[in-house]
Order: sequence, then structure tokens, then C-alpha cells
Amino acid sequence: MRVLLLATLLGLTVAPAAEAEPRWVSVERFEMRSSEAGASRPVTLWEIPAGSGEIWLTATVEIPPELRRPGQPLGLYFAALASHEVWWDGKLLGRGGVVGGRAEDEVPGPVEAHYQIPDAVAAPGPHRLEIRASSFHRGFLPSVGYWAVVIGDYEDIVTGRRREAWISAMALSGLALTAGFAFALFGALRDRASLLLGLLAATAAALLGAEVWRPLVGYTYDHHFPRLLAIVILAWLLGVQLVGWVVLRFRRPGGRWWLAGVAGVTALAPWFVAGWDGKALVIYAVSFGATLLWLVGALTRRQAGSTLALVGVAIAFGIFLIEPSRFPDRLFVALNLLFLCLLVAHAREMRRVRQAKLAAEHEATRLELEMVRRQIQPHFLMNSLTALAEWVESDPATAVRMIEAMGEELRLLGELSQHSLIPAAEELKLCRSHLETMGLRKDVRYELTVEGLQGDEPIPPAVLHTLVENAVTHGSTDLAGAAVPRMHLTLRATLEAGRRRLVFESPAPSGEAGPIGTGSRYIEARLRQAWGEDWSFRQGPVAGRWRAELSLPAGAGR
Amino acid sequence: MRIAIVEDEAVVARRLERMVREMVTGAKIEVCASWEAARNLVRGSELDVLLLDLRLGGQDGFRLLEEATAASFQTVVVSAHREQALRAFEYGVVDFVAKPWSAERLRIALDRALGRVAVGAERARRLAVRKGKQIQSVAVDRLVFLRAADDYSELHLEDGSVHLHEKALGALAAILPAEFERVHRSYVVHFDRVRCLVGGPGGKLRLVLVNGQEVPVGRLYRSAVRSRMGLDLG
Repeated sequence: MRVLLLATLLGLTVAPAAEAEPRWVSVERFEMRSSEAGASRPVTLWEIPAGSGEIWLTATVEIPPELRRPGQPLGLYFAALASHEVWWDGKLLGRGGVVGGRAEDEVPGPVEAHYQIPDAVAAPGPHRLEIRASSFHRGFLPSVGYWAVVIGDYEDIVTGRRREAWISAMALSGLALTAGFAFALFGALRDRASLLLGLLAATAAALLGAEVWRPLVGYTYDHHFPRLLAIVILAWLLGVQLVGWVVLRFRRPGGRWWLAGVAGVTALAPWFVAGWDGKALVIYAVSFGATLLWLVGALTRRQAGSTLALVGVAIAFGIFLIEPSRFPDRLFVALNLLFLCLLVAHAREMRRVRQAKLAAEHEATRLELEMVRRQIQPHFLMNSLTALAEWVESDPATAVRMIEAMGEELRLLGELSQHSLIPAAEELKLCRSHLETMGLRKDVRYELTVEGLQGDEPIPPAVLHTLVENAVTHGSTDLAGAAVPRMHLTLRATLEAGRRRLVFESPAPSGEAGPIGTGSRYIEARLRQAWGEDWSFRQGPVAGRWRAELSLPAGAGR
Repeated sequence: MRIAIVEDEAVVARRLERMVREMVTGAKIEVCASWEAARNLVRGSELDVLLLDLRLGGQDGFRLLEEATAASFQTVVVSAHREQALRAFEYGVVDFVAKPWSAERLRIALDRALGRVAVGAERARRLAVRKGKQIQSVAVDRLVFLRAADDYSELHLEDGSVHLHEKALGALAAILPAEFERVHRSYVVHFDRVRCLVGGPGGKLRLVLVNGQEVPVGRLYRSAVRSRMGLDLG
């Protein structure tokens, strides 16, 4: 499917290149004079001085017999940054704008114009061509002010431009649609990647629009400078956004610097390059190259979706490298192929994100259930009730204390289970109510010493509770198997190099006292839910005690 | 009368001890809270009843249960994990008391353990037999008959092998399933293995078993055997 699409788009690139055999004559040599009656000198079309005053160009054009086909009119195509009048054999063929001797007198004409030459004066043989032109409204000094004077089959002159225009229009609508789709996705999902893809596609559409404005719509020559400026600015925006998109999409350290570097270089380099096409080309070269390098890095790190994005950018960059000077003409192919790949990559990423989100929701529900289940876990509940029965009969006041402690623990387990992070103070409350219940069940004095915790530090629920629970389960008898009268637990929190370190210690007479299996998995799952992979959890015996160590980010989780 | 309590929950153990003391007068009661201590108790001393929690310090105690059921005394499990009752009965415990228990329920369990009342419907599927330091588990379906041997019992299996169990015949009869019938002061027979009942001189009756062996029927047990054989014609 993808191969088919690529083949179709590649076919489009080749099609315009296979042009029909030209049936036209390019007029390049003229006699030029600065006023109607002044002295003239020979000049080629693109060497006409950049001055803006009124000029007269005269040439004798030989119409070859093969140019004339029965029933087909002859035409003249004129492209220049000037207002003009075209005279053919002493008769006015047409005018673009109003030519004048002063800026106030001149009305800017179109940059491109085509005129039909009447059959009566289009016979094969020599003809006299005169062009009167002025250009007071250029707004800048172009290196070439006069581009082309072409005489040929009128039909060819008109349809040739039209063909260029409709392919561009198609490409433009494709990009606009991509932008619209990405913005619609952003509207629904509110995600940065969709927004950026939409902006990127919108910029590409605007750039393509600026490029094809001339064949598609046409404009008077005084708008040429703003259009060139717009093209360079849009090319810069496109390049920077493209780098921004890959840096955001394929994250790794240094992304900001990479983006800032590309933005800086592409903003500065055009000032040192002559010619407007050259400026845009430098921007394309730097930004596409930087994007490609970043993607190669992403590929070597096996980041999901990097292959497809790399293919898209490599194709676009390849089209650029084949013939940089013709890249603006091929921009629509390059951009469409690029966006095809980016869209597919984006769709896949969205599916991946959605699956990850579903998995995270499922995990959250599972953890909540696991935590709530502790309340009704038979070992806990039935032993507590049995002990409670004993206290009711032997010492009702203690029974009341135990009911209160159990009530507090059950309430906290239920309340806190729905959150992925809770304040440390709440967690400690949960631990202390558990120790109170267990103390009354096992007749052991449990002491929990806490150092270095303010109470507002975020921590996943029931992580310390799991450690405390296990300490009580495993450490309540000494090596001889006799119940211990008291048990001391410690929790120390420190801040080291921007990370929080929590160290929990409990007696471990047999050397094995940590949460194994379910308990460990619960702790790890909670840490992963809160902080992805940015944590560590280690435990083991240290000098007759069991030590559990947590290293956590200083801030709140994701 | 010696009764041992294995329970690591101090207050629960205290309750159990207090109630047992009220129900069995003059009993000597020992309490231990770890598997090590419990194992020494099971191996080393002459007990009458063991009240056993199946979960101590986060570890489950079926290995100790196997050792306990191989011994001469009866075992009652006292546990929070009701779902483990069936498995415990299959191991050959005389009763299973779920926490929290009522005084009446504990009394029934003690009566069953002391052979004062019939045991409930749940019976052993396997018998644990001590072989030196090892415990061997024998499925009750492999038994043909059991014979009293002083305070112990001989287990006669279908393959002809004989194992010695530390429990007295009465204690074993109490936990064996309904297919087993006491036919003599010294004999318990797996009734699915009976071929026929034959009479002898002086009105003595014998059961001929599928492996050809014969087992005498005690005078006291005649009517029970007859009705079981479908010969209860009055």
C-alpha cells in the first residue's frame, strides 16, 4: 500500500519533466535605448541594467515556417519586473500596467503576460518587435529584471503555464488537507505533536502557495519582492518547525540546542548568500540536513517510528540534492512525499500513545484494586477480628483503640488507592495506623522513627505501607522463634544531587525479611506509574537488618 | 492431656489458649510462634492435640502439616484462610476451624480431636507416613485394610506393601472417608475391596478381600457389616 502511494507520487515528479518538443523562439538580443529618440546599444535580455527608468527594447524576430501551424495562432510571452507595452510590426500588441517616465506616472504591470499575435502579421519571416518598459516599483535591486521574451504557439504558451499551475494546486490542497486534519486531531486530543504537525503542514502549504502564486494567480511586479521575502521566511519557518517536530517526536538530550542551532544558522546564513533562490536553498540544506542527522540518531536508538520519518525526510532531501537550483519547482513533490510519511508516522505514534494510555489506565485500576483488596485480605481481616474478639472480652478499652486504628487504616487504604501520588504525611498516617493495629494483634511495641521528611513530599500510595507490612510479618519473631516484645523501624529521607533517597530499615533476624513477589511487584508498579523508569528500588540484608532503598525524582510524577 | 498451639499472632494465641483451658480441664498447653519451634514440638514430644495456624511469618505450613498428620496425635487447623480447608482435610486433619471462631465451634473441634464425637463429612484423601526422617504420602484409595499394632496402625496396600502409621487405629478411622468401615477391634477395611462375607464354625464371620486375604469380623461390628453388605434382613 505504502509502496504504491510512493510510486504514484514519484510518477508525478517525472511526468512534468517529459515535456513535448518545444515550438517556440526565445528572443534574447535587443537594441536598447533610454528614451524614444535616444542612441541605442546592443544588450542581452538578462543583462539589462537594473536602473528603473523608462527604456525601449527593439529586436528583429525571424519567425521560422515550422512555428506556424495551420489554424493555430501565434503568441508572445513576456516575463519581467516591469510595466510594459509590446509593439509588433509597429502596432501595439498589448500592455501590462502603464509605462511612465516617473514613478507617479507608472502603474505596475503583471510579472507575466501573454499576447496573441494577429494572423495577419504572423507570417513566417522577419518581424519588428518593440518593447517599451519602466520599473519604478520594484522595491529592491534584482540581479535580473527581465526574464523572458518568447514567441511561439499561443496554445502552448498558455497551457504550459496552466499545467504547472494545476499540479501545484493539487499539491497545495493536499498539504492544506493535511494541516486541517492535524488541527482537527489537535482539537480532539489537545496534544502537542498534532498541533506541531498541523503548523508544519500549514507552513508548507503557505510556502507552496507563495511559490505557485505566479503561475496560479499572477500578480503585478511590485508584489514580487514581498513574495520573495515571504518565501524565504516561510522556508525558514518550515525548516525550523521540521527540526522542532523531530526533536519533540524523537526525544533525546540536546534537542533544544539542536533546534536553537538550526534556527540560528538558518536565520543568519541567508544574509551572506546572494540571490533569493540561494537564500532559500541554504535554509533547505541546513534544516533538512539537521533533521536527517537527528533522525539517523533516532534510528540508531531504535526509537519507534523513526524509520518512516527518516524515509520521508531522506526522499525530500534527496530531491533537493539531485538539483538544488530546481528544488523550488519540485517543492510540491518533496513536501507531499514528506508529509505522507509524517502523517503515517504520526498515526502510528497516536496508536502507540493510545495503547500506552489504555495500558496505564488498566495498570492504575489494577493497583487500586490490589490496594483496596488488602482491606479484605483474609489473613489481615480474620486475624484482626479474632484479636478484636479477645480484646472485647478481656479489655474493652483496648478493643475500642483497635477498632479505631483498624477503621483509620481501612479508610486510608480506600481513599488513597485512587491516586498515583499522595503526600508523604498521609502515607505515614497509613503506616502508623497499621502498626497500631498490628501491635494490638501481636502484642508487640512497634516504633517507627522518621527523619528528614517534611510531609508534603509526593509518594505513591501504600509503598511504605507495603514495606512496613512486610517488616511486621517477617520480623516479629527472633531467631529462636520467640515473639519479640518490641520492634524498631526507621525511615530516613535525604536529598542528594536533586534526587530523594528514602531508606527504610527493619529487624531481620533470619536475614530474609523483604517484600518478595507480590509486595515487590506492587512497589515497582506504583513507582513506574508515578515516574516511568526514573526511580530505583533495592533491598537486602545489612548487618542483621533489612534495608529497602528508594531513589526518586525530587519533583512530582508525570 | 497435652495440647500445643502454633500461632504467631500473640493475642489470637492468647484467646485460643484461654478457651482451650476452659474446655479441656487439666490440659497442659504449649504455645509457639515459629515454624522452627513448632517442628521441634511435633517431633520431640508426646502430644494429644495440635492446634495449628497454617500461616506463620508470611510462610505457609503445609510441610509441617504433613509431618504433624503422620504423627500419633490429631491435628486441628485454625486459620484465617478458609479456602485452604479442603486441602487441609485431604492431608488428614481432624477438623478445620476458621478465624474468627465461636466457642461452640472450637468445642466441636476439640471433641473431634479427642475422639469424643464423630468427625465431619470432610475426610482425608491421603495419609502421611513417617519413614525414618522422611514423610511419605499414601493415597487412601490404595489401602485395602488397616490393622492395629499396639498404639500404631499397619496400612495394608493393594500392592501388598505394609506401612506403619504412628496414629492408633481409632484415630485413623476417625479421619478416613466413608468407604472405610471398622469391622473388628483391630481391623478397618476399605469396603470397595471386599469380595465376600463367609461364615465359619461357631458363627464366626470373615471378610474375603480382593487380594485373597481374610479379615475377621468382630462380634460388635456384625450388624454394621451385614447392613453394609446389603444383608440386613433382620
